Amino acid sequence: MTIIDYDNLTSIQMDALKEIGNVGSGNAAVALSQILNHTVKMDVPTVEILGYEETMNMLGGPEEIASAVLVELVEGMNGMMLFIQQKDFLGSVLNTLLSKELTSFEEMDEMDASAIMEVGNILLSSYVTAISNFAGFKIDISVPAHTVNMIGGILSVPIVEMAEETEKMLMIHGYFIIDGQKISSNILLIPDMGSLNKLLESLGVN
Amino acid sequence: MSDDILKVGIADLKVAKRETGIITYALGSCIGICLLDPLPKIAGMVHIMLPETNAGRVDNIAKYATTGIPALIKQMSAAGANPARMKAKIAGGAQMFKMTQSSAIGEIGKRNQQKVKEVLAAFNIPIIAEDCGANYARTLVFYRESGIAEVRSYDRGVKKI
Repeated sequence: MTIIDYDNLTSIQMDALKEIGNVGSGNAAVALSQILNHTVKMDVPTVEILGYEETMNMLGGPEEIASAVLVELVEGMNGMMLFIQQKDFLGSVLNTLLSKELTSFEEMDEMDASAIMEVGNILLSSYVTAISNFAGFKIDISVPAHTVNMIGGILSVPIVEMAEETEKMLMIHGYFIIDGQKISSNILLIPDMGSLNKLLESLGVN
Repeated sequence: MSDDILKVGIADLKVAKRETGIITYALGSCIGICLLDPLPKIAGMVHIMLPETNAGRVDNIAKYATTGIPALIKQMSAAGANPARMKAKIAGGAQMFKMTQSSAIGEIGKRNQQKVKEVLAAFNIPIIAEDCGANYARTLVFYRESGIAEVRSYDRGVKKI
């Protein structure tokens, strides 16, 4: 059966996507531990279908400031992926990587931003590798883009891009554990409906 | 924010007859269009996401400039406003992410601005103030009595237009 919106996903299909989210998060933790040269663990993430308002509220409301890395899916699948980095993530990564004590977003300079974009790109790529391995086809992503701004404006990008098809997003929410500290990780996976169906079919759960 | 301020969500519209004002949060490439008939002091706001539909069907009229603006004018008129006296203030139409490869994502804010201006011109409604473009999100508050629009953004404070 062809899925026409995220709401149509069956529990078997959701389980398959959860498994991808789980493996992707494991890959991401390994990648992050290599970047930081530090032990990084990851809790089992929650994978859920959320609307714009729900996602916004989960991340602190429309005017909450966050850092975000965006890549487009350009081969194998169409759509985009977003990595929303909250202050705890930025603080921990920049501290380990650049020995920087970040207390507010305003203190981020260009070097911080470029480091964060690269980390975001590597972590998003870990998820893409997980999807690609499960699906059995190659998936390519664009070069990353980065912003620090209001959550509402950031989340409007995938919502506007997919506006003709869906108002929902697939959120993989979990925590990295670095030095006993829990650091939130929020990955949004937003393939278009054609690509979602292609993925489900390749997973054998269409 | 006082309870007396109506909240407009994404792809949503509201008309204020007695309330203090109307707010919409964190416009990215979307555009907030504020309309005011200064005589009965009836204000309205619509938060559009796209210029027009490509799907051929419209599930939510407030989603598109071509359907959302006429719908707002109609609702305000039903409340007692006169389109001939309406003036507009608009904000939004940004590009949140600077894409290095050519991408439709980068163009949507600009396309929204063009279409909003086109639709307002077709109704002969002048745009008396605007704060559009650049690369950041804007929260827009429109005050009914004064017709002042406040634009709040990250690291740039508040701007009155």
